[in-house]
Amino acid sequence: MGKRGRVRKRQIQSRRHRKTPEVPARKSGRRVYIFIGIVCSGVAVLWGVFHFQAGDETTRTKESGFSSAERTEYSTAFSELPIEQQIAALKTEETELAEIIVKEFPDTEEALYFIGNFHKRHGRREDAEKFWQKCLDINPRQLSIYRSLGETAFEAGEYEKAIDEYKKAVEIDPTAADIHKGIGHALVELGRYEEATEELEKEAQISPGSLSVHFLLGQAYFKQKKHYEAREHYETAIQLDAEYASAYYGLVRVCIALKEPEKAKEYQLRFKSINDRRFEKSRAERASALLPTRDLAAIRRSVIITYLDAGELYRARKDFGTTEDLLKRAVEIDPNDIRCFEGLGLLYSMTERYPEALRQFERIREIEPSNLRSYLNIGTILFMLNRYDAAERVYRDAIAIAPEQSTVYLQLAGLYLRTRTKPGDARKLAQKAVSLQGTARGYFMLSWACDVTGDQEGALKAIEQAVRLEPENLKYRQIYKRFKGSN
Amino acid sequence: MLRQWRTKLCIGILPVFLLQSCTERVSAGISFSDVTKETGITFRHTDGSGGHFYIMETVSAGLALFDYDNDGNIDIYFLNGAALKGTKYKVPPKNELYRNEGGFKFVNVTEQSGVGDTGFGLGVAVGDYDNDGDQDIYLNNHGPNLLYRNNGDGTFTDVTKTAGVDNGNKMGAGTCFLDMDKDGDLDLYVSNYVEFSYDSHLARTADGVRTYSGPLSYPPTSDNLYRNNGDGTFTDVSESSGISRHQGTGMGMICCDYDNDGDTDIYVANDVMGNFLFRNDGTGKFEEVGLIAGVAYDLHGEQQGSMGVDAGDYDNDGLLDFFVTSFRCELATLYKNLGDSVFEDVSRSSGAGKGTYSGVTWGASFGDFDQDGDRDIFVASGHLARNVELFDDSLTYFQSSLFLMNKGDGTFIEVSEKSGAGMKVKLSSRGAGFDDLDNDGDLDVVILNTRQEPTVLRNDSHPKGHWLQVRLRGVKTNRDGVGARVKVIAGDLTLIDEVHSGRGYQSHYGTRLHFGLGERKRIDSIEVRWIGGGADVVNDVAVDQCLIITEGSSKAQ
Repeated sequence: MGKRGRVRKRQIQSRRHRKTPEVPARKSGRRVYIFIGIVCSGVAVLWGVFHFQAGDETTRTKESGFSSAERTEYSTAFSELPIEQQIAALKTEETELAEIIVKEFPDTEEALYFIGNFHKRHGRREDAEKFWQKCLDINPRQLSIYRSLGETAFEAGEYEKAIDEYKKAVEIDPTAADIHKGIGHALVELGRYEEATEELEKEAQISPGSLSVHFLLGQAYFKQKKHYEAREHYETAIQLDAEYASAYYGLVRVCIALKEPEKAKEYQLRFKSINDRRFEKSRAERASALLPTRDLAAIRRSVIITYLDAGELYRARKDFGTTEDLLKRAVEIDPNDIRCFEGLGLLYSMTERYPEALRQFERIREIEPSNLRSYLNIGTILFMLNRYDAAERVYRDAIAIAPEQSTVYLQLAGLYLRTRTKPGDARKLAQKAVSLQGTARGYFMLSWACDVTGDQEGALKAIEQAVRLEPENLKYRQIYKRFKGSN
Repeated sequence: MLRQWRTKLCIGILPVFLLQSCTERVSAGISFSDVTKETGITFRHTDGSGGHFYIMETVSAGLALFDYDNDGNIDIYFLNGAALKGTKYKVPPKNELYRNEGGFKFVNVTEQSGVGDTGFGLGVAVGDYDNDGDQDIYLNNHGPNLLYRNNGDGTFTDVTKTAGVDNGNKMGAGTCFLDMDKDGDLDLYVSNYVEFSYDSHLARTADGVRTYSGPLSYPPTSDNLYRNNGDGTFTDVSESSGISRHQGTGMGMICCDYDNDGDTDIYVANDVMGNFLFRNDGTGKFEEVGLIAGVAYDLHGEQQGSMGVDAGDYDNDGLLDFFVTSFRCELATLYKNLGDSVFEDVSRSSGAGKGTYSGVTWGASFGDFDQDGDRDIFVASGHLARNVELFDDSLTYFQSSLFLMNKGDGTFIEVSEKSGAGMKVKLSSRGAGFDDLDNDGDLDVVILNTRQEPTVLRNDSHPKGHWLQVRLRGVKTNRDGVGARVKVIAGDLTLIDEVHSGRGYQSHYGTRLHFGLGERKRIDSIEVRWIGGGADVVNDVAVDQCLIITEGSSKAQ
């Protein structure tokens, strides 16, 4: 174990023996939901539903503006070393951290899953499956494990095995996304196109906007010589992503089969243009001069994932001090990786260290100026800090960045309603939100806004929609009853 | 030298199969025995490596099976690597030629023949470019290429300079002789891999382990086409032919008439780029049609790490299909010729991709190894990186070959483990050649293994169907009959094949065509369409023999 590893181990162990700070009792009537996506696909961090309760509004106070967060200088771990030594040091550190996790959380499902993923990332399939299997021994109803096993088998070309694993996942939750797709894809690779179609159609019901599902359906129909159905799905794929080269390739083949040479030529040119650009991009990324840094970047990403996973384990154990240490170290591994700052932001929010949480989300906004989540999180924290004017400005900026996202309108509407300012604007914002996406929360906000602007009929109609969309929501049902009674 | 061979009589207790189920055929049939140690071959391949991870180390090399001395036995020529920058050898490695003495015995005749080139060998083609009745050798190297003219007395002369085909200082790949303009002599296509320079080379790391960069780290490059002037010299027509317009990462290649229009077209497998299919307009001008023909990419429109390619009619529909080998996590691709110059990737539904996904596949060929009347597929495998296990424990450097048996209904079944001890050899293979080394009528296998000794597999399949071998002798057209189309009709069976020079993975074999006839005891006719010439038909021919058909004659010898 290297020197840094021994220091890390001492830090983690010493933290365990310190009294962990008390989490302040949460204020009544307020619940905060925060979701963070660890994987690069990014899940929105939402400050969730504000439940309207009479007498709980916050009086808006004018503020003279807020001072911007202190500028923090970030350094990158090991960056002073030659690349090959950086890689070696990072791998050693990650391995040591993984060993600590195994020791500290020997029988924890999540830890076993994370360690399996760690081995998978480093090309150790056997070890990965060993840990995942241990996880299943504790809890055989782990859908994510079967998904991982299915993916690993698929990557090895073991399609029958992949199908078996995915089917176990289906037994647990037939409506889970991407499982039927996994089965369908494996069936396509086995040349069992009719069966593939069945599975992929099921996935299309679950994920109607899935690009890859439509493409695979196109492939399955094409191989069954159902050319019109194939074309329909390829065209849907390119509506979802106009740069999806493979769908154009499918259209070339379909048009040739349907003896439409002019259309085939048109799609051929489009395919070639996209493919040539993609090829040039791949070549540029792999140009000799850049090669050494590609592996380094990949290893840094892997180390960060391990730190984030470790942080999650300690956070679940309510060891917030160690969690903070781990996430701060993750920042040092790559100060431009927003996931680390998201993790810290979540942690500080949970422990009501709002100014520090604010700094994390502002850092994300510096790294990715169009990261919508960061705006929403900043707005929410500014609200918690009673900086309403600043929160309003941030939400307005978010609307400018993502004018088609209903969430941003709801956040600003919520601000106005909670501060009892601009109710007319709140109503317009809520209406805009539900026109973009009719969610239960959106209708709830619209109902609130209608109520405060004196439109009882509108309020009733809106809350009725909310109840229709979320019939189990007790709060909505109570409000609906109240409105109905008074009408 | 004219010879006929008669088959050994197969008497056994197992019935000759006709329409047996695939299970019965598997248990009755294919078997390969590893006879390498008995052959006397001492060749050991060198990849020139010295710890710098140069890309060409991973792609060496092809081999040639041909009858260099016209004694009726197929000889073997192995290509070798050479010291790369930063490596030194006490004795420079060289290519080696082994003369077939019969009975699977081979003698090293490299010194006396004069073909022990010490350049970095990558691809080879064999053809009688000067139409003097013996086969010459072209080497496509990393560095200057070589043309060895066969002197007809067991020796060769390096005539590269005179011929004008050294092709500069490029990184070579596959190469083929073909008669592109139907003027009766063999022209030369030279595929080039990538633009490489030592100055810009950098090895990469994978999970922190130093290993090889792939072709995407180097600029692609165009290929070269040389027209034979008929006087021992060639002219570079890369530009005027349309070939040089296209930059690629050429590896294996094959020339054949895929569209049955009477001229020779060219297929080049490109590594991590769309493959090329150059359609010949009949005069030696080419148009690249790979994408529209459906052979540039796989079923999903993805470019593959294509390595080698063979052409053959696997479904006996009179159209040549393509089989292209590939990198790991990719299926080797079977492109079925649908006619009208269109192909379809049928790797999945046909089963022809089975077993190829997890390996890196190289030399492969269509061939009727059990002689039941349809072409099977043999695939040689082996990973690129000798240290691959260090960063991915699901992969191995050494891999076994694969055998895909044609079931006769357009599908294949992977029967490698049931096909004899020879299929259990596990090395990192590259080029492979397929021919009848012991003249017993069936196809044997020679595999070049990188950094190792080769593998020689004797075909001991039993029982086997009847067979026919055909050697062509051009008179007005090129002497080897390269590009000629042969159609064999035996009762309900119609088979086609073409003479190729250069095929598979940067290799050469099969100048003598082999046809499996199943239980058919008589051949109704053999039709030969000579490239740039007419057609000859030989009728009513006995099975189980090798015929020499001379252009302009309706008799065979």
